Amino acid sequence: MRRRIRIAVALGALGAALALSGRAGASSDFSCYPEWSLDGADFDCGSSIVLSPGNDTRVNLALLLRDRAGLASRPGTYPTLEWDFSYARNFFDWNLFRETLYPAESVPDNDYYGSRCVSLAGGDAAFAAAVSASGALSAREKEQLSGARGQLKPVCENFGQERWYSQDQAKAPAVAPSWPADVASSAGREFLAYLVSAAAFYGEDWGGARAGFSSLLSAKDPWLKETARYMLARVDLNAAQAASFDEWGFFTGTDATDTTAAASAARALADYLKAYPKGLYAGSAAGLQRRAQWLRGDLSGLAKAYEGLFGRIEPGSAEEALLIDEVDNKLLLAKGAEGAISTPLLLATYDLMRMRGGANLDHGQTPIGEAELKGQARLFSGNKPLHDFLLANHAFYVAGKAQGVLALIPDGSSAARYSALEFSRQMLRGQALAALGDPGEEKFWLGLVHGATGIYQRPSVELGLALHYEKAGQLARVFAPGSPIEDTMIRKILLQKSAGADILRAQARNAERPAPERDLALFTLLHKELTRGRYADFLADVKLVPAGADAQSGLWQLVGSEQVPVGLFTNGTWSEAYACPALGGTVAALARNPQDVKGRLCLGEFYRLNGFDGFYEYDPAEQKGGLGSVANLFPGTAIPRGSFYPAIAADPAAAREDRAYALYRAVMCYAPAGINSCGGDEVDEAGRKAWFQTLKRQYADTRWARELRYYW
Amino acid sequence: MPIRDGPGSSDITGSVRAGFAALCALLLLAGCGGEGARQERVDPADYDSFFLWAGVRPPPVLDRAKEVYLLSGEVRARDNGRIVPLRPQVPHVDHAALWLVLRVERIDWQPAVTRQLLRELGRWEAAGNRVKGVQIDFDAATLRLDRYAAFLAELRKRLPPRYKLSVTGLMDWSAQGDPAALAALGGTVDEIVIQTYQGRSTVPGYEAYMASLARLDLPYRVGLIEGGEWRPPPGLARDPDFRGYVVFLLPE
Repeated sequence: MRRRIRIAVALGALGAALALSGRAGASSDFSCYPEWSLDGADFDCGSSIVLSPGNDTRVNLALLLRDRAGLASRPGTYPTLEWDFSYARNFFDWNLFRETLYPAESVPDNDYYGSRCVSLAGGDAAFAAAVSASGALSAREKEQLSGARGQLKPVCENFGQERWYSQDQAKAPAVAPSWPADVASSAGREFLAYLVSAAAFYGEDWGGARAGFSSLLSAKDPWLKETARYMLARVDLNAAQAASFDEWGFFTGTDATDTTAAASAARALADYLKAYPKGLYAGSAAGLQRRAQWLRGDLSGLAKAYEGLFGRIEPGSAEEALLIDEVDNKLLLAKGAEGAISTPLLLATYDLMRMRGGANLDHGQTPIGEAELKGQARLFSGNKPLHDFLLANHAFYVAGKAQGVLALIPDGSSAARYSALEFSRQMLRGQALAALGDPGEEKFWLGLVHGATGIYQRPSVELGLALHYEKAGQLARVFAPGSPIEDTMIRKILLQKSAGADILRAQARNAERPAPERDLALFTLLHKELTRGRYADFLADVKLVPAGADAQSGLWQLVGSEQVPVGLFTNGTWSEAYACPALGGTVAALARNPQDVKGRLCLGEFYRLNGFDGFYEYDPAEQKGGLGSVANLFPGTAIPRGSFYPAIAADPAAAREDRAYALYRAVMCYAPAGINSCGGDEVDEAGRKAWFQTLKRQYADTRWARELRYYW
Repeated sequence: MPIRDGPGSSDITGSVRAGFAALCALLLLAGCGGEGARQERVDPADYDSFFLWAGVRPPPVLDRAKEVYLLSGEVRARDNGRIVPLRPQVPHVDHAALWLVLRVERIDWQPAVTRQLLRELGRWEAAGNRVKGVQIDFDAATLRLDRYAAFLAELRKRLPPRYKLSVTGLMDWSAQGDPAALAALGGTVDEIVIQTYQGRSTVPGYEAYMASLARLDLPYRVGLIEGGEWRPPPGLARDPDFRGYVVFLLPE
C-alpha cells in the first residue's frame, strides 16, 4: 500500500559526501521497495546476500570479510521488520544487515554524539581523577580546578555562537569563561592552563588551543603532559578540516583541507604514539592517524592501514562493522581511490562497484574493462575463485555474455554449505542459466536450495526458482505441495500479482501456510472477483470467510500486514444515506444482472465506505522482469465505481431517485478539490458543472439535489 | 475552494481564478498561469523551498532559498536511545529559514533523544541560524497512526513554542488513515509535507492521492523531487490548506 509513495533515490551518490558522518553512508533516507529480481547490476536501496555490483559496497565488503571466519553458512535470525517490511528476507540495506549480523556497538549516552564535544564528559571525569591524584595541588586548588572545569560545558552548549567565522578574531567568544585568579602553585597553574586550552579547543580557537597545549608538553603532572600531547594532534586535525564545511554543514571534501595542519597532526600523532605506545589515548590516536592520512589525501597509506586492520579485527565483531563504514566513506567512495587500492578484498569490492551502470558511478570511478580486470590476476593470486567471480560478473553485467559465466564458474550446486563468495558464484551461475533459457535451470536451483543454509541464502534461491516458474508458465509449481518455495513474501507477491482464481482459492484454504498468507489469498480472490465482475464466483467463495474475521485492520500494506481484513466482505459497512442490503444481496443482484442499477450503486457504496478508494494492490514489480510482473492469470480488468455513475445517470430505465443519486455521487467523486477519487475516466470541470446543474434543475425535488451545494 | 451554488455563480469561477493568481504570486507556484501552463519537469530554479538530504552536495540554487529543510540526523529502528547525526557540522545560514529534520524509524524515544534534539536546536540557533522548526520524517506504519499522533503531541509539549512542528506524510495516510488519529494529528502539527515521488520521478497516479489529501483538513505542502514530472492536479491551488511546494534536491 505504501508502495510507490517513497522509494529510494538511487542512493549511491548520497554516500559520497558523508565522509564525516560515520554511519550514514549510502543507506536509505527512505523507504525501499526493491525490484523482486536477482538482478544486481545497479545500485538501489536493496542489497542482497549475493555479492554483486549493485550491492552497497559495505555489504559486499562485509560479506568478504565474514568469509575469513566462515560465517556465511550460519542460519542466523531474521530481523523483525515493521515499516521496512518490503525488504522481507531477500533484501536489506546496510543498516539492517549490520543490525542483523553484527553485535551492537556500545554507545554511551552522550548529548554531543557526533561532534568534537563528545569527549567533554569523559574529559570531565579524567580531569577530576588527575586533579584528585595530584600530590602537588592544595585542597583549595583542587576544589577551584574541579569547579572551573564546569565552564567548558557552556562552551559546548553555545558552540558556534559568534565564533563560526573563526577567522574573525575581532569577535570575542560569546561565552567567555572566567577562570579562578588565585590558583598560585605551579602545578595549579598548569592544570588551569589545560582548562583554558581545552576551552579554546571546544570553542574552535585553534591558535589558542595549540599554544596552550604546547606549553604543557613539559608539564610536571604526567596526565597533563600526556594529554596535552594527544590534544595537540586533535587541535591540528580539527583545524585541518575546519574550512571543509560549507554553510549547510556539508563536508565539501578534502580539497579545502588545511594540509599543513593535517601534516602537523600526523606528526603529532606519531610523536604521541612513539612516546606513549601503550598510552591512555593510544587506541584513539591510531584511529586519528587514519583520519590524518585521509585528510592529507594519502589514500594508499590508508588502504594499507585498512588491510592491516583486516588481519587483526575479529570477524563478525562490532569493530569490524565500524571499520567497514570507515573504509567505505574514507576510501572506497573517495576520489582517487582507484589508484590506491591493490589488496584483494578491497579491490574486489571496488571492482564490483566499477561494474555498475554508468549512471551509478558517482564517486569518480571509471568503468572497469575486461582487460584491466584480467590484468589484476596477479593481485588476486591465491584467490582465483574471487578473481574468476569478478570476471564472471563483468561477463554477465557489463558485457552481457551469460555464457561467459558458465565457463568461469562450474556447477557447484550440490554442496552442503557455502561461503558468501561461493554462494554468490553459484547464484550468478543460476542467473546465467536463466538468462540463457538453459533447460537445466530448474534442476540447478533445486540442488542449490539444499546447501543454502546461511541467513538470507535460501530465499535468494527460492526467488530464482519462483522467477523461473513464473516465466515458464508453471506458477502452480510454486504452490504445489512440497514446493521448496517457502518464503511468505515471495508467495504473497505471486498471489497478489500473478495467481489466478484456482491458486488463490487453494491457498486460501492451505492450512499449512501462515494466516496472513492465507488471508491475503482469500482477500485477493474476493477483491478481484468483485472488481472484475465475477459476481457468481464471489458468492461461492465468500463462504470461505470465517465467522468473526477481521474487518477493522485497514487496507494498508496488505502484503506486509499481520491482519488482512477479509471480514470486510462479510461484515463491512453496507450503506450510509442511500439504503443498501448486505454485500451478499448486492452481489446476488449483480450476478443476475451485472447492470443492475441498485446493485452497482450499492457496490460503489461498499467501495466508498470501506476504504477501497485509493486502494492499490501492492505492486513490487513495476519494472519488467521482477517477480509478479510476468504472469497475470486472473482474467479481466477492474471496473471502477467512477464508471457506474455517469452510466446510471444517463440511463432512462433507471429509477429517477437512483439517477439523482448517481449524479450526486458523480459530483462528489471530485470533492473537495476537483480531483477524482472514484477511478474511471476523468471528467473536466465543465462536465462536473453539467452534472451539478442537471441534478439541480431536473431532480430539484430529490434529497440528493437538496443536499448538494457545491461542485468541484 | 468549492464553487458555490447560487446567484452570481457564473462570476465565482472568475474570482476563484483571481484568488488562484494571487496564491500564485504569493507562493511562486509551478503550473501557475492557468490550466494551460503545465510544468513537465521540476526545475529547482522555479522554487524557493527545498529539502536537503545529508549526503547531497548543496547546489547553488540554495543561495536564494527562503526555506530549507535540512536532514540533521536519524533515530534508527534498533536503537531508540540516540540520534545518529547525519550532518557533520552545524549549519550557519543567514539568508534562509531552516527546518531541522529528523528521520525516525521509531517513536518510542528514550528521554535522551529529545534531549539531544533540543541540544541540537540550541546549537543551530547559537550558530546564528533562523530555525523555523522541527520536521519529523517518520515511516509510520499506518496502523500506528494513533500512536504517532500521541508521540507528536508529547514532542510538541517539549518543544519550545517558538519552533513549529512539521511532519512528512505519506499520501495514503489521508486515504485510509483512521479519521480520529488524523484529526489528532491536525491539532498538533503545523504542516505536513507530502511526498509525491518515487525514486527520481513522480508517483504515477498521484492525482488520486491528491484527492484524498485534500480531505486532511491540515495545512500541507507538496514535496516534489528534483527533475521529477509534475503537473499540479487541477484543484490543488484552490485548496486553502495547500501551502506550496518543497523540492527534494537530488545528488548531482
